[in-house]
Amino acid sequence: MTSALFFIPGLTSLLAGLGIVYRSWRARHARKSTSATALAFGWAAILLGVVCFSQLAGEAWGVAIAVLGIALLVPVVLLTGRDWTPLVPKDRPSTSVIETQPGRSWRLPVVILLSGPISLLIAAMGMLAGHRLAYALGAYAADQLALALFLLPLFWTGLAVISVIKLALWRRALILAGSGLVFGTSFFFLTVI
Amino acid sequence: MSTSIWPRLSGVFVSRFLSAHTALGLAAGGLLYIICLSGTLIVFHNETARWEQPARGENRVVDPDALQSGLEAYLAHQSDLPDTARLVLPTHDMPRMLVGSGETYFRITEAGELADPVEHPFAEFLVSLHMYLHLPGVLGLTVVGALGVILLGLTLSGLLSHPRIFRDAFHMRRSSALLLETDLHNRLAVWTLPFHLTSALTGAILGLASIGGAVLAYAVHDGDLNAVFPPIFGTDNRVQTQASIAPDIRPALARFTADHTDETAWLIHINGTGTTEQSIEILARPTGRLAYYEEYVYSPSGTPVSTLGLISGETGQQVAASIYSLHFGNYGGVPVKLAYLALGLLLCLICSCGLRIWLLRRRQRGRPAPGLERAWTGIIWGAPLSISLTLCATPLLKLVELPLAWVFWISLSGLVVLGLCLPKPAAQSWDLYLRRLTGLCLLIGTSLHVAHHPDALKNWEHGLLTAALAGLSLALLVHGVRLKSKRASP
Repeated sequence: MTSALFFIPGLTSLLAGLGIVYRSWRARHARKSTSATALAFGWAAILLGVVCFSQLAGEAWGVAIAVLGIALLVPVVLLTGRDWTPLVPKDRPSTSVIETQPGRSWRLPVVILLSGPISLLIAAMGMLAGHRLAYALGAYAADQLALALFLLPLFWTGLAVISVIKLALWRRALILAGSGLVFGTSFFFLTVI
Repeated sequence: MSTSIWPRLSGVFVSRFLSAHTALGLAAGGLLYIICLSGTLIVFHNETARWEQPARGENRVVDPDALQSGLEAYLAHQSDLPDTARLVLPTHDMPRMLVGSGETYFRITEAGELADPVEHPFAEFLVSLHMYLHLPGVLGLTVVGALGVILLGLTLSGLLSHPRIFRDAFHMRRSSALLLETDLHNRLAVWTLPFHLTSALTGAILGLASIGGAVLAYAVHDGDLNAVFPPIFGTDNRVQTQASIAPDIRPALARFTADHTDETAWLIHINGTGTTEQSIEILARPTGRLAYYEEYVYSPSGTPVSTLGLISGETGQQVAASIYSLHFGNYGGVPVKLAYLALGLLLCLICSCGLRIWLLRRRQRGRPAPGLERAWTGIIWGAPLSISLTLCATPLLKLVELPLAWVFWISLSGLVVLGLCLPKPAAQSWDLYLRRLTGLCLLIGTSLHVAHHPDALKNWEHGLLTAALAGLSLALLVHGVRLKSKRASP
């Protein structure tokens, strides 16, 4: 089947899905109840639209185009919409950003150390462990390398977030040390054995 | 109260991730904003480069004879032959034929003669700002990669500290400045999540690849860095041939055109010029694929030697090749580039709102920080102003050979310091001054460019970009005046 056949149904499905999700959200806001069926139907239509787009050309290419469309369309609707929600429901807990409490002067350098070089070092160990694990499982060299390239920033992100989380400093350090131990041991055993 | 179908996150959990979100945002908000802004602008890098150095006789047709003549003319002028010479083929966003090596390139005319050297310092300044923050080599890449990690961390912590992500999907409250900023920040961040998650992850991967490669080389390849990346990007496949200064690229190009009708060649590497071991690598962009390029290696006689496999090889190769396109936004022509421009600007807005929420919250709690507020405004409007100032200064700095980066960083630092020290009466209109100055500098820069290249306006693409810049500068000037009169009225 030619790719052009998927474009119109894909676009229609995406737009209809977004419209349904938006309308059901508006209805929920007015009546203070959620129409789960309508929401599910809307999200299913969006998913169907993405699937149709994936058939346009290369699968990943089509999905990227569809997701880009959604990511752009909704903010435009939100920013240009005239009927912004004017009232704040009273039962609503605050979702705004809160401040961090001022800490002792030595805490900041420790947190910077934990989230920066130490987390990077542990993430690098994690990357090596992942690379070795892929090798042990018989993955191709290109797949091992690609996995390693992805793991480094992902592990660093996770560890950096843990380092700055609102938790006792020794607990954060313990989590980091535990991760380092697991990654280091895994790498050692996967390399030696 | 209505029952909800959505799971609830505990308050402690949300509070923990919110604190992480705040800490990361405060730590790197300013630099992240600069990276996002410069990244948004260089989505149209090729167009900016063409605008900065207009050229007559642009052509989208690949002329193998002209390319060959250009290559021969270039190599004939080199006292030391480069190991690899490059030919840039005309494409839709850069319809020019170029030849060169390393950092030096020349345009090739339709007759195959060498024309003016390629010189677009402003476009390169923007690229260097985004890729390196003007820091040297690997250090710059790693710092920018670390900022990508912080953006990824902000995305993760923001997502986990958002307990009503589905219920608030379309909420936009405007009953107070704080609520408006919060809703703008949250709603835009959630709906543009696929874009900034992808940009942050791919940016972090590209930035940290040097460090990751070094670690892998040390731990797995006995310190040999050259052994790390070949599984994805291949090795130099040269073949024995007769020594010639400039091998004939035409047989290889003809073979490529015949074999790959759905791919567009955009770069040719001529390896081993002047030696008996040579190869011709043709880099081509496939249509309807995310892969940045595929590489076909030919012998100088036009015989296919190998194909790298970035569009048809191992999964890891295909994924790695897609990272570039997903980050650069060059996989769907002008529409996708425009989408990246819009989403990039939204990401700048999200960054800007994030810190303003924290500042407004402080004010609400009776601990205002007016100096910090003005300093933040100094970054938000000072960065585009400094970029516009750099555009104005480009022709002047060419004469005195000063790096453009100096203008940018000195003016930006000056504006932040000025923001911190401003007296109260001037502080009220601080953002208006900056907006108007940005518009003014952009207008001066555009006017200087038009005065310098009056003939270039005959090219409709050049004219369109010039008009867009002039329109943007006028909009900033007029908006600044309107805002001032609005604030002055009771």
